[in-house]
Amino acid sequence: MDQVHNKILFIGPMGAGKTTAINTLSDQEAVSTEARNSNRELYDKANTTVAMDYGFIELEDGQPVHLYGIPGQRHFEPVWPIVAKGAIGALLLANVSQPDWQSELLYFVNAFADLSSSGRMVVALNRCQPADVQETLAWLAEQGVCLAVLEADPRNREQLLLSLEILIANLEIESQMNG
Amino acid sequence: MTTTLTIQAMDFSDYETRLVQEQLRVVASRTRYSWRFDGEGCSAYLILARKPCKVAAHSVTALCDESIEKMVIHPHLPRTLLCEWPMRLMNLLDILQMAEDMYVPEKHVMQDSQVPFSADDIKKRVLGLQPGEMLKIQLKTDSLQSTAYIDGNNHQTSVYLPGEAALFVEQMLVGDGYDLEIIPRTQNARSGDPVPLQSFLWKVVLREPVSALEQQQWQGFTFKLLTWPLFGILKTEPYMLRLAALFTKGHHSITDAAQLAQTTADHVIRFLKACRIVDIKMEKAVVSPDRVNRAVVVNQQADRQRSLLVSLRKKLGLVFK
Repeated sequence: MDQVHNKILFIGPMGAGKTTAINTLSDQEAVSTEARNSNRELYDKANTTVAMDYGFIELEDGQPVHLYGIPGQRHFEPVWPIVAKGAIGALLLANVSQPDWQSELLYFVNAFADLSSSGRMVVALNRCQPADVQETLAWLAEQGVCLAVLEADPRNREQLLLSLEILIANLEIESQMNG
Repeated sequence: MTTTLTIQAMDFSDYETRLVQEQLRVVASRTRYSWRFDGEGCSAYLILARKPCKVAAHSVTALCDESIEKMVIHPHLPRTLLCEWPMRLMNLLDILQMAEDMYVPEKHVMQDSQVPFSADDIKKRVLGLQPGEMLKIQLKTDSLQSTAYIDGNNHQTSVYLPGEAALFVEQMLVGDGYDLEIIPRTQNARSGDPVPLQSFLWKVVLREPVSALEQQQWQGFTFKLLTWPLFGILKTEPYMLRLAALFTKGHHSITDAAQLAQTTADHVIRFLKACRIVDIKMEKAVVSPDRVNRAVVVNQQADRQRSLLVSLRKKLGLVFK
């Protein structure tokens, strides 16, 4: 029997806010695999995820929806497909205050092409101005990428929930179209 | 020629709206006139509403409430019926027949919008504003808070409203409507929290009635959105998210979209009109004659996946409360 997929991914470069976002949404404190950040030139924070983050949302019938965060540094790229296997959608977080955040964004869009090309990805911009959202939407369209873009502080549950609502709506439509 | 009367719902959930539509289909053969359901709004001949609301003068209002056991004519409000909710089939038939009894021919059959101006008019006038000018929206009501101003700042055009945006928009679209006037810019007008013009126009279009002529114009074409709406800024409901997901995936007709997104054709048209007014790029193509409506075939696996999504939405259900 086919399995019901119940995994949501949190992707994006180091410092985008994936660990925080999972902690914000998870029913219990997320399991984290943080280690000392040896690349403080790229992003100046003390620790960073080196394997993955994990949290979950338990539904009323006891079934969990798993929240997986990938390690954001590119040298972990071989791990990404393993973590991503069976995911129903992804939240792509980007920290607009980071240098080269747009090229990083596009890198992740392409790295998770299965999800982005089917619309099962929402772009959540952190530390942005309202104009950044509109500009990113237009810029992605120029790259041939049509994804929902939102402002989302990873500490703000309401903003993250809207991102998840969009993922759910997309899945509902796919489920209707595929019968 | 058969007379067609229109019916709209106000403040009902998607599920309740579909329920009324289904009931209407069942009782259709037992009414004197033919009835057409026009989705949500307050411009039809018969309005089913959950609470008293201002509707066009010719309309008959059926106020539906759980506390009412038997349908009666409202003792104080003209052309208003008090009806039980949830509504039984026979009760709906009674409402339709009473509304038919109140109907005076040649006054309100298949009328187009009761509103003289539309969101398109507002947008056109704003685009035509010269430096030093602003646009005044004057409600034709006795309300104290009846004037709003639209002013193009250097980078952003904002609407200065006298109160809550949703309430003002509601007042624009009921009763006697509103007037538009270009006036010299005045600082006094710029009070209160400004609302971005896009967000305001989006709200107006979603509440504007869709006329029979407009419905015809939208049918017969397929549409595709080239970008997503800015849902963090624009008013959002679950059916809009589903429509955005659908129309960004490819071309769909109004009928297909309504079926796949589990909403009404009226909602689909309003959503596309709202996307158009905020300049979301969209492709339009003629429906090919051999295109058939997409049948929704349910399989067990898809059903289980849907069930998980419904549970997840229920668990997370904070955004749209």
